[in-house]
Amino acid sequence: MSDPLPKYWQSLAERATDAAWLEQSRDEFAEELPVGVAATPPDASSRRDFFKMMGLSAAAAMVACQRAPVQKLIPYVSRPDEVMPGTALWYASTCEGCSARCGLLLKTRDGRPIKVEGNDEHPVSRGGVCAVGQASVLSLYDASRARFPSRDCHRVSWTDLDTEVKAGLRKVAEAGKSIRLVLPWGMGPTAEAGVKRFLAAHPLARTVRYEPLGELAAIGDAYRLTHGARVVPDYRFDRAQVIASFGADFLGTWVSPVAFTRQYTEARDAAGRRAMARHYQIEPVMTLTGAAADRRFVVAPSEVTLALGDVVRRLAVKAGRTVPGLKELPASRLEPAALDELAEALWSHRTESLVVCGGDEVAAQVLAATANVLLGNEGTTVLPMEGVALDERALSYGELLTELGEGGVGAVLFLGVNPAHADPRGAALGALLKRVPLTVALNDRLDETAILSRLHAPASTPLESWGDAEPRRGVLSLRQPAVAPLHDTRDAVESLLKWADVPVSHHEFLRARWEVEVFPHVTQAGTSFDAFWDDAVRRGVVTLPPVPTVPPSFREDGMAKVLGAVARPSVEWELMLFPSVALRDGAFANNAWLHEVPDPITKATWGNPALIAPSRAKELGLRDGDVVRVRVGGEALSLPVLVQAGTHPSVLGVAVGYGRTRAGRIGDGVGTNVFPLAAVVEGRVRRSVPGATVVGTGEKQKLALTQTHSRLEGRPHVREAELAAFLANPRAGNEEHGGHGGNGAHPLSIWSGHEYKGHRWALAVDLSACTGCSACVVSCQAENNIPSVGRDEVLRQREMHWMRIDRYYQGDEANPQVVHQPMMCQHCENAPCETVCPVLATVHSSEGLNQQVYNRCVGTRYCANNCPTKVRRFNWFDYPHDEPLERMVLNPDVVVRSRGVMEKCSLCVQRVQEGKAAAAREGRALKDGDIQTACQQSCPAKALHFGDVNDPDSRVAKLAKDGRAFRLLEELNIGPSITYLTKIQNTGSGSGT
Amino acid sequence: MSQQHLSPLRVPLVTEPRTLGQLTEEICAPMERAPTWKWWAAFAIAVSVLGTGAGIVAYQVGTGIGVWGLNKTIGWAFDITNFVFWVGIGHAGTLISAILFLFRQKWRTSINRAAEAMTLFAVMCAALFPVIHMGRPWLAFWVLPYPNTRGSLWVNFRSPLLWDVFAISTYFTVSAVFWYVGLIPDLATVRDRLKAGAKKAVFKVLSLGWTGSHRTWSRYETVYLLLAGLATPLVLSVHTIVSMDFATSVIPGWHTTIFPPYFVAGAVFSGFAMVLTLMIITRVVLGYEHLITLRHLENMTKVIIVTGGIVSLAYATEFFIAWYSGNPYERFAFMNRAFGPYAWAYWIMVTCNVVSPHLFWFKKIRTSPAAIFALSLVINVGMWFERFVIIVTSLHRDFLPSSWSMYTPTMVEVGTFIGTFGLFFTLFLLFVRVLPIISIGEVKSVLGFARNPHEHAEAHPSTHAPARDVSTEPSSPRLHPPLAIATRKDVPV
Amino acid sequence: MSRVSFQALGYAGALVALGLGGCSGPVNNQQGHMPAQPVAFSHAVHAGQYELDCQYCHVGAERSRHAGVPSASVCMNCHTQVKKDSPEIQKVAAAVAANAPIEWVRVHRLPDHAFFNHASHVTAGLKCQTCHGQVQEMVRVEQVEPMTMGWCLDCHREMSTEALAAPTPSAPRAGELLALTSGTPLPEPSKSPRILRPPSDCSGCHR
Repeated sequence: MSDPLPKYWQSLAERATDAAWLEQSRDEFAEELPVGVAATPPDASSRRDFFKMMGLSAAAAMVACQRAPVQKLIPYVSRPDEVMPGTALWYASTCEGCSARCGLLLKTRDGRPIKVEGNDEHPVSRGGVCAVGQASVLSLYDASRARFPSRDCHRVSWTDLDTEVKAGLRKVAEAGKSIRLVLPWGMGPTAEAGVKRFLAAHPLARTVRYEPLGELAAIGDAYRLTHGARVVPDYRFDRAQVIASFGADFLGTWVSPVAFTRQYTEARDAAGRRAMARHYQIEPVMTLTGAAADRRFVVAPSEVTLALGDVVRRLAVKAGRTVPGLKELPASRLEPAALDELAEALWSHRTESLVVCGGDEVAAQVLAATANVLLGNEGTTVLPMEGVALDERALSYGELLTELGEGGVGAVLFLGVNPAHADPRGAALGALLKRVPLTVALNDRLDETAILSRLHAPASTPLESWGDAEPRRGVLSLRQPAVAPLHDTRDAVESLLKWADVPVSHHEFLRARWEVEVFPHVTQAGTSFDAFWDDAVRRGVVTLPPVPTVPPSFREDGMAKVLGAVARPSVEWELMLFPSVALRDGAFANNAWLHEVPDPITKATWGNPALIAPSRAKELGLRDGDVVRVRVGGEALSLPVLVQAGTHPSVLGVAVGYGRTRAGRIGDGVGTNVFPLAAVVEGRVRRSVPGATVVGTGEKQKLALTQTHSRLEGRPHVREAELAAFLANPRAGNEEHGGHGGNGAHPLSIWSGHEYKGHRWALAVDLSACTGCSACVVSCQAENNIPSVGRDEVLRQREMHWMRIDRYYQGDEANPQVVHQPMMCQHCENAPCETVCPVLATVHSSEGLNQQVYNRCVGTRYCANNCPTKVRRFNWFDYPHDEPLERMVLNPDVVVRSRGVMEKCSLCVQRVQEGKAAAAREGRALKDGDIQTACQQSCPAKALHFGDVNDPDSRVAKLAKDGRAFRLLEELNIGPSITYLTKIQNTGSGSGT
Repeated sequence: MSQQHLSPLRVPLVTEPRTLGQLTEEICAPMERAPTWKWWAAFAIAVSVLGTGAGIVAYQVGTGIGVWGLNKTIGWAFDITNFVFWVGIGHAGTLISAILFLFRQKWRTSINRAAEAMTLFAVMCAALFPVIHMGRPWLAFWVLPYPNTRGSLWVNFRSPLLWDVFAISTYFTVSAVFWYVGLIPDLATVRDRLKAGAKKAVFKVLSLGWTGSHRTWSRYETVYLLLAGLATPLVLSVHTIVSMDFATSVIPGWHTTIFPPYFVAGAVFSGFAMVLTLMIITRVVLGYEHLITLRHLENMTKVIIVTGGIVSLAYATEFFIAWYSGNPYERFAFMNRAFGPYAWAYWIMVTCNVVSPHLFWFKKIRTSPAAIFALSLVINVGMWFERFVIIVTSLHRDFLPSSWSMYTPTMVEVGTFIGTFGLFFTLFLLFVRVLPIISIGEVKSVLGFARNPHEHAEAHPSTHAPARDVSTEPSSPRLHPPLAIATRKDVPV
Repeated sequence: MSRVSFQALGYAGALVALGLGGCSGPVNNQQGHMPAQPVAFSHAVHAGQYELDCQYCHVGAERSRHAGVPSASVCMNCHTQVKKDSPEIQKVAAAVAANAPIEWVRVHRLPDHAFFNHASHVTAGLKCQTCHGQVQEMVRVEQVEPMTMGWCLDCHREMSTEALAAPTPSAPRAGELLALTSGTPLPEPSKSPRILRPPSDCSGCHR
């Protein structure tokens, strides 16, 4: 190959230079003759035979071998510059799934957004995305979204609608009635500016902030009381050495779970830091966060605040301060020893501890804020002024209802909120709204609230519209559309602007605002706004230089009143309504991915069973699926129970967000809407409800659980170690367990083994980091075109997820230890599946992957039977991709499997191939980290590491040799490529933190 | 001649005095008379069951295997249970024919034909399941090695399922040839009894120009012996290989070296039970009590006692090895079998397969066709459950407790299983109508000549050349003093 | 049995095998497929006579899985000047004017479960003609090669046993300056020779 000139070769023959090759190539068909040719020696066959053959061949060809149907190739008339069919385009954006506003990268193929990934450059989420964010791409193609504006459910044009709204607003103003804009909290600075323009144009208008879960409102109200500003502080779990959470599911649903998960794993990275924060959790029902805690105390819902009060009381003593109102606060029933331990742990880590509190009770948030002040955490782990500032002037939803009842309201506009579903007073809304002359809903579908409004101005989804967000002070996150609106919908903010007679698009408004408000703060000499803007859009996030803030002084004056109102109910049953990790408040209830992803703790899908403590269930003779009648005041509902370890005996815990009636084809009627059972105390909704009655009905309802056995049965599949033991011995907990192999030696094999000359792909899973949040499960589903099979199929134990998270309990079922184990195809070296497939549909690749070749599979299921980890999934039916719109989300790089075919985790082989091809095209070697699997990419905890173990410098190769590394079922000599790292805990049974 | 071995003290195999001609008449009678209403009734039931089964299979192929009760953990249940069950039944025919033939067990002659037919039909029922249990049965031919356009993509020669394909297709082919070759002299007999017509033409082709000459007989016997020799290892291999579907896997409860002999013994056990079931019905319905005698039944019950004992030993050994291995997964698998959620199936199996055969130690039970019939059914039920227990209880709780699951069959699975009985009995009933169900040529060789004093006097006390040993030689006038053979049309000369 | 019937039996067997082979084989084996196109575009004229580079029109070949069919506007780069009056060109002009894409008929088709990547092959130095035949001589494009799995694998296996450096691809092409992309260009393909290791794993093409 000394020839310096470029040389193209046309065929293999052309390249051949040696004589032998040429000789051989002359007799091209020397070895392999097609059967048909071989069977008809031309000279031996008579004319008659020839005709016989011809006739038969023609018949055979006609019967069986029809040509493929004609396919059309339809190019662009004029191809947009950036679009190259067959390659992906990525757009940086911001997630609108909850108030956390994580940074996203939207992958589009040929104009269609098909996947959501985390934006590594985003300072809040740092590359993680939760399950809800992952699923937002499916919501874009939701066939049940409204496709056009309507009046009383009849289509109207936007012009007509605008005219009618404006005329209506004018009339209301003339009549001197008020206008109410019902909004969620924290819509982003530009959207808020749009709201202000609307308020400015309509002096009689005021905002009403509505939040189904009431968490932000409670924090904001508490801080207004104690600090004089309605803010949600920025919490820094990564700076904490002791974390005490009173009912806050901060890894699952509370405030900013993705960011907190990352911080939390950093604070607890025993291997990296040789230190580990200790986490205390005090809660009534097992949450994702409680499952991760080192010490978990189970208390009744009404006791959470009291326990927090007890801790504050002890801290106040230690700090030598008095806190007004504490004396009147009843003591909790939690053992004093536990409270002492907790207070001591916090006190000994002053300024580097963190007390957080979940729920919707202001008093509890006041106590949490007080605790952090007493501990001196403000400025280190709690930054009150660095978080999200909330609307100071807003009315509450309770106040709106009062106003509506009084009849002074002339217009109500709902912007992306659904109180008719998510509020206990929802049923009354319809009657109240009938008396309002102008009712407009800007929701994305004709949901429970929109159907009560006369006019519907459907909003585009976040993936179709512009916007921005400020998830933390100084962090401005941009949202850009990845696709033009699919239907005749309009950006909600644009609608508000239009009705405020500001005739600009949201995009123009956003740009203009950024030019004035943002650009001057970040100006570098010589950059134009256009260049800045293009760069900001490309990156998706802009960080403003920090402006020093002084936290307002702590005020104690209002506390006594708030704390004085806290009472200890003495009741047999307390109802606890909590958001589930997947569905949250139920806004995305028409999303099949979110229904199908098993709840990380209960492993329930497609429904919200009522959780009951094992002891209480035994006492009442209730078993999984028994239906109980729950009565609170005048409201009564029937719910199936699920016996859940770690639940307080007086609690019946139920997830909210289910039981939608107008979510759409998928979400309607899944589970039960328990919002009507919530209590209303002084106009505020309380999700912890004392004084319920629970009676068995004798009926049964099947629960679609993906895991029905929760104990490890003493098997060494998950290995754990206490921090102290781990620090003394990195192999702690990972000593060889029993079994045939033993002693770490490789068992004998009759196979010679595979040889990997190039790459050898592998994955390492850090059980210590994994919280079980299930973002990876949805990410995998999105990436690999995994069908959602629905409740019935899950009931038959046929869920299709390639990735599952096994959850095991250990110890006392009243308050067990929980371990999560992400489980995917182990890509065994000596894979049991490979030897048994009769048609070679599952084979080993030269890079160590266990390949499943769908188009070769005949479906004997032998491989699945012989799989010791049972990760193979079979297509029992043709699972529906029947809605054409929903098919748009499919990843064109992965086949859609037909029925009768086995499938399983491929370690995202399409990404591997793409990464390799890109490197080859660019003439460079692959770097560690170039290829990320879908599960790895979105993991908020960064618990998964994919790479090439043949590269000794790769992360995965190092982890594979780590003292914590172990592999599943090694005694079977299957040689898995997946390495697990032992779970380290800091329960304090040794000499931990 | 073989019959000369017979002691006058021995109970004859054909219990009533029959001439050769009478025997031919008797055996050909069911094919030559119009079917009775009983046959029609039985046939109608069988065909309707078959039709229902076919409908269910069509539905399931059209809709997807999801209509079965399988799930992510349990990938096989009724399908492979039925497959192994039918293959097991398919064992006895060729075993009776070939192995008993090689061991010179004369008593086989009156049951071998029907048993072989049963084998073929059972294997047909069995072969259905590997095809329909596939997710994409229309691609079932991919398990065959054939040249294709996919480069070097053939089949996986390491897969026991592929060995199954070879084992079962070979077994079926050899059994069919063996059966057919054995049929040839009788086909010729039938041909010669028929009047000219389409039926005669068919039999003429089928009997391959059989003349009955010495040379023909001589060659026939050589071929028959060779085929018997060929079929014998296949009898052992087919269930050995079926057992390897499980034995070569890693699943606790499957992964065990005891399976090949255990499965073969179990197959013989169930196969004999099924032969008994069929023979007891046949001998009553067709009035063949003198041909299929109590002695036949008794002999078969003795085989059942032996094989039942082997099976019981295997069950015990499995438990012992599970304990002795020290492997926690193995231990758990067997504890779970006996005391887990499917314990009921396990104890049905034990009752039927371990306890019930011991009733045959009692002569009274062994010689009562009704009792044998009942027990044969019990054993078949037990052997079905054995396969169910092996497959389902091993799969439903294997290594990772997170995947543990339960299995409940659906109506489709039950219907398919019942449908195979429709297929089996339809074929058997047709067989009874169109072919001689007892080997005319062979059974003549065991007619009770030994009781004829002057025949006995001529007996040679010495041994004989093996190939000629079973020769029926009906043309030898010496054996048939009362009949003028040459004039009889039923005996080809 | 007579010799004739034996012979017939042999043929029947051969046919069954052929049927099985043919039908179970790739449905895409459309060797010789040469459909009529809506516009009588001649590769012989453009690629042959005028020696236009393939990638002038098929811009994706080096950068994407799909080589891509040129948009009608690419034709009009020249045909606003050249041969404006031809009825065939007028079809294209009309398409551009009406913003209605031309529906070409696909000639080379791989089944959906086969993921072929043009970029990988073109940047490896493979000439288009290796798989597509002498397109520059075709008035109407025809599928020349069988394009079966075995055919692909033959080449892949041949290449992986010979550790050969590929020639440098991507010489500057005539007309590249007119290429339509003005967005951020994808990284230029490597100019240095490299060892080709085409995959012969299933997952090379099936995902």
